[in-house]
Amino acid sequence: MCRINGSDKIDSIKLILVFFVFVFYNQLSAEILLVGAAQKYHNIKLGISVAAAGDTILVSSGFYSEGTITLTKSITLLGKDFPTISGDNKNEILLVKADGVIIKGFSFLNAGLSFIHDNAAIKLDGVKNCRVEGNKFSNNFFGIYLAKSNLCQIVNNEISASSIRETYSGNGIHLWYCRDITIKNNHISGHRDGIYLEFARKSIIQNNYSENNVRYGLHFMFSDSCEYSNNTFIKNGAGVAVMYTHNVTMTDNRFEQNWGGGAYGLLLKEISNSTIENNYFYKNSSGIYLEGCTRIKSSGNSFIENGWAIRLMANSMENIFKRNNFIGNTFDISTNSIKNYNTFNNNYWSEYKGYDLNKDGIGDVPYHPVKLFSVITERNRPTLILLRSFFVELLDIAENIFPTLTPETLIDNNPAMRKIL
Amino acid sequence: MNFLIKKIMKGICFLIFVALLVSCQKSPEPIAYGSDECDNCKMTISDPKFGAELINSKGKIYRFDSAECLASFGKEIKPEEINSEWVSNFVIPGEFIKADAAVFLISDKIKSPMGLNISAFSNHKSLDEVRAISGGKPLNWKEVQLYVQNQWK
Repeated sequence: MCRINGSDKIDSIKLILVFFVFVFYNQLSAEILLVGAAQKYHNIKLGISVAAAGDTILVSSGFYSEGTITLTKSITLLGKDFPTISGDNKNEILLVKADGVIIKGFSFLNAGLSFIHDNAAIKLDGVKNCRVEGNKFSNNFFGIYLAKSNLCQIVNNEISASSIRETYSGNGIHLWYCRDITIKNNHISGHRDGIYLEFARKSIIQNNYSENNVRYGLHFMFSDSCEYSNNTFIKNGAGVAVMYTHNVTMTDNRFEQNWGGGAYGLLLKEISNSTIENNYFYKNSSGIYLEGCTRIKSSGNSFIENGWAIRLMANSMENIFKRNNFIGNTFDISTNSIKNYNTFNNNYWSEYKGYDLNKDGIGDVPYHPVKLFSVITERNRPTLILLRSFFVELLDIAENIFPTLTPETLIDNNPAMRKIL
Repeated sequence: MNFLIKKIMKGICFLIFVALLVSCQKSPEPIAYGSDECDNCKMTISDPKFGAELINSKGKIYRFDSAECLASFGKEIKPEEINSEWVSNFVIPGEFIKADAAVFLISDKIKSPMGLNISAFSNHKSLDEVRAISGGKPLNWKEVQLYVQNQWK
């Protein structure tokens, strides 16, 4: 069934040979150093000082408090049964200044709060090809901090802090001037921002779970060409914020229960040329808030039981909203402008009261998603107290027939009759 | 006569009213860190080392997450409509100092919420203490405004 031809065979033999040589060579040269109370080296610093590049340091379980541990050699740090390394609430714990370092299986505790220094449990400073995998972080000022680093992977970590320190807590995963970073399968809670990107490029954020952070579950600033998908953001202080950034791809994420005055599922400010696809917005004060956004394509998203599904501010233009679901939101679309430069087409609106006589699945009368009352509340928030009153309903109906205050062109000409799957 | 007294009383009442209007809200109010929103960038204001405020001539207070946002917002407002501008004292978080009396530091080591890394101090002594650790360049408020304007176009 699967025949291999001659040249393929030689290739695979070559490959196997190379593999064996590599493994064998590694076994010859790389040493495993044991660190622990009952081992040859009693503390991690000692282990590191005798290690050579390529070595592995295996740390037995126990409690280690050694001040700031600095790594300047490419080594692998492995923890057995989660040894705890503490920063004693005063210092940084692990400072990595060498390429190719792997850190796996540790529990990091109490990196110290500082005014001037962004003390982190692990700081990667100006490095390449490092990997932080399967560690636990609790009560650190910053969790994992990457500065001017490239091609690193942050995978399967459990990061939590008690939000008692509120405004003085740092971020769970923090990127500053980084490139090609992968952040995958992490669980982050109780920090200021779960994941924070500042001046990052081409990074991927996937499958993370960010909840109960003081400010944002995920926060982008000036970070072009990044992508985040399949993440869940629940009950963060203000949701997720993506700001001052171009070319962001946001797909298959869940934004849930970000509730409060200044809370958003997704806050977009000065974003352009980006994609928002197949995301799920459930029970947020505002599903998406857009200010100064241009050329965003939004499709396949579901907005369910939000206060406002979308708040589209006046200076947003050329955005396209196509084939999204709007179900049971108090307001579907709200805007502070009478003009509209955005396109809404073929969305499903649960509030749509039209009909479909020719049975093509598209409503025969256009849907007008901006209610008069939502325009009033956008200008004067306290009027919300009148929501659901008879008079307001009457106003909305009148406005629907003769639009005066709501943007006349903000309509969906082809509203879908059935939910888009 | 009665009429005159009435008129004078009215005048006094009006003056008191005006005085009340003018006198109230001239000093900054504390920012609710973690819940107030920046009036310039929409971000939740969360770091008391960097919060800032602008009070306009009518007494309305605008709140900001950083001196950068204050400078950027302030340049959109006519100077005669600004009553006062305030920034947080980096070494005493939550304490406001007048922006034009403050001294500022730009340092890569001190990261402000908006990425231009500007921190404010009430005097050169406390600035120099921090600068000894962090390095960086001291500026006055005018220079900060110009710097922000150039950086953010």
